[in-house]
Amino acid sequence: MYILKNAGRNILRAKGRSVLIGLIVCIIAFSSCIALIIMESAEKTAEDGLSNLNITATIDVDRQKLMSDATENGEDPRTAMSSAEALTLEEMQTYAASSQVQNFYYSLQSSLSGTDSLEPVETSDQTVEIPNQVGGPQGDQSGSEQTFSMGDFTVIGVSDASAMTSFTSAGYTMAEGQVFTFDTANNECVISQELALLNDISVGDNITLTNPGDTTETFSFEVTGLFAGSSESVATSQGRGFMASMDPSNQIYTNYQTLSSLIDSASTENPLLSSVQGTYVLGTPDAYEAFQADVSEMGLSDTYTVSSNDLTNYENSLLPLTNLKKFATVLLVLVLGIGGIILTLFSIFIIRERKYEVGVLTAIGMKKKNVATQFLTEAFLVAMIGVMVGTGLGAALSQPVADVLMADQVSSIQEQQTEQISQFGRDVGMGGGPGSSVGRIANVDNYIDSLSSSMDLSIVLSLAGICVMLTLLASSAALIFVMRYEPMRILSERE
Amino acid sequence: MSILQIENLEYRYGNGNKVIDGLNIEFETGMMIALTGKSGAGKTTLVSLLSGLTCPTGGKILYENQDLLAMDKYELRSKKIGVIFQGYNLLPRLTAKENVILSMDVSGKAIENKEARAIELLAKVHLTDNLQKRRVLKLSGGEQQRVAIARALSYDPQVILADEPTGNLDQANTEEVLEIFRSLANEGKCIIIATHDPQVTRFCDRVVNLEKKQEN
Repeated sequence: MYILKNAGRNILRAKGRSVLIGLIVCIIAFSSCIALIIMESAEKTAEDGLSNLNITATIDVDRQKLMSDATENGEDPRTAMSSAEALTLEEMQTYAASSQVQNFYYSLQSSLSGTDSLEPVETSDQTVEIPNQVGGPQGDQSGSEQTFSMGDFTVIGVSDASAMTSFTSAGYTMAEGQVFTFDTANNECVISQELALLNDISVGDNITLTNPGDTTETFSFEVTGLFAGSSESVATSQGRGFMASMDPSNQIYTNYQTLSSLIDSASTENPLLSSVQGTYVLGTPDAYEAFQADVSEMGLSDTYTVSSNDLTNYENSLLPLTNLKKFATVLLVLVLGIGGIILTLFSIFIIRERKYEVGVLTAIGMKKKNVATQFLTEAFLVAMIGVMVGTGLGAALSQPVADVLMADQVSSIQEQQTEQISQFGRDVGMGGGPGSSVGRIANVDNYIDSLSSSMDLSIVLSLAGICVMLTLLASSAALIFVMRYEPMRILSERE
Repeated sequence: MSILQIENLEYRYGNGNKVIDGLNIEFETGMMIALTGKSGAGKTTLVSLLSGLTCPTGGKILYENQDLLAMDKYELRSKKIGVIFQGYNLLPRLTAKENVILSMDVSGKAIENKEARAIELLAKVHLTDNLQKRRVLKLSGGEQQRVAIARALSYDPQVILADEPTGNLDQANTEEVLEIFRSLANEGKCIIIATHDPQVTRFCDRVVNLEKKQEN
């Protein structure tokens, strides 16, 4: 009991010393508090975002695997790549039988050219011919020498409304008329309001598209609706001015049956470039992982891979949050490391200064362990006060600090993105290897840019534990240093 | 009755110089014993050895027939032996009264109303109420010496070891302190005083000259 009384009295009598130690602990607690709150809040925000995510996945050819297998086997990687085929719709539907799949939708995409009466919004003065590509074009793939022609329009045939992902993600809405029905090959379509205006097309009119490889081969559609987007989405449309068919205004939506029968009806001399994309709606990240295992069990070759853009985009959207968390971790380590060293050195200095006190106390019969307990109690009490003040300040200021840091992170990444766009004309993944921030910032517009920082009991306990342990360790190191001396030696040194 | 015995005691400094060599003394309860000798004769060293602050390099010290080396020295200094250091060795941040109370706390003895006892002891060595509440840093040498005496008496030890306890006291105060020691000796305590003050030696029952290794 007297040890506690003495400790309390010493704290009050040596105010300068106590305030200084308290201040150091307070700064450590404050910085650690902010770092811990940011780390935990970032973790929670990421988890919440993930749990709210409705994950969709696709199955594609694993190009990397094909390349590495070919290299290992001494084969030509290009031959291996060209021999690989994307999954057919029937194969995709087989894997949709997995119990993890909540919904399966698909779309078919092809490229067609316009006519004199149907000009694209931004014309491309060239018809691009591209070779048969891996996992890309469907239809006639009789040989690698086969070439396909690209038109000015992209026609997308969807299985149902949920397959119109590019439509919904661009924020388009029906400005006039309505979306076609999905059941039969009815040759109905919706086009952009911009395209309709340019070509003086109204709902109910028919439009004619041609085979880019043979413009005498025509395909007729009835326009059932016009879609429009916000000015922002139109202005930032990817591919605008680069290739007309990539301009969203030149995208024409129809149902799958219509486009499929149209591709089937195309001449074999000039087959239409097409690709089918199946999307599995899985929901949770766990279901995504289970689906990967399921398809493997169902016989999916390892030359195919299951991937999720949602997950990738979500991970990319976490970039500012991840950077902030890294910053907080580094801050925590630095604060604890440097703070610990300062505290230890300061404790050694103080206890050396109090060596005489140790000598007197032991000379009057106080056991060294009791002297140590008294000194540690002093350090503990001062540390607790420092922790309380630092934690209080940290809790109060964590939100504004997190907001400032988060804003810095987001603006820094956006600056990089803007710079990239100005350099290359559009968002591009610059490579830079896995995990490269340059590569990862591409195509991500909606970063998580806010963090709701809140303090909970676990943070308070962690902080108290960290700071008290740090203080006790620092004091213990100092005590060990001074406890080597015998009382008589200390006292005779003084005399 | 013998309480402390020194048998063939020897002490060498780190440099090998022998300061105490073959010393044999017996200290009895109820006696005031003066240890005399010129400076360097080993008076302070003997006080340190008897209080367990220093270990002998030869011979034995027995406390109630128990070898001091085998005893818990902290227990010895906090309960059985009260030491009055030549340099006082008080805690400068504490007041005179707090220094005395701390000593009682450390002893762990069941002492009722420690504060009242501290006040009583400090008053006995003529330290006024005002001085009792002052931090020892602000007390004169003589006042600090009296605090050190009160502290050594506070937990009622069987042996009082005093190293030049009257060195900074005037004649009147010296007499007062010696009277206190006398009354303690009469109560059955053993008072051992290292001194070169003839006034003190005259007051003692026995005087041991450390140079001659014999009683005068």
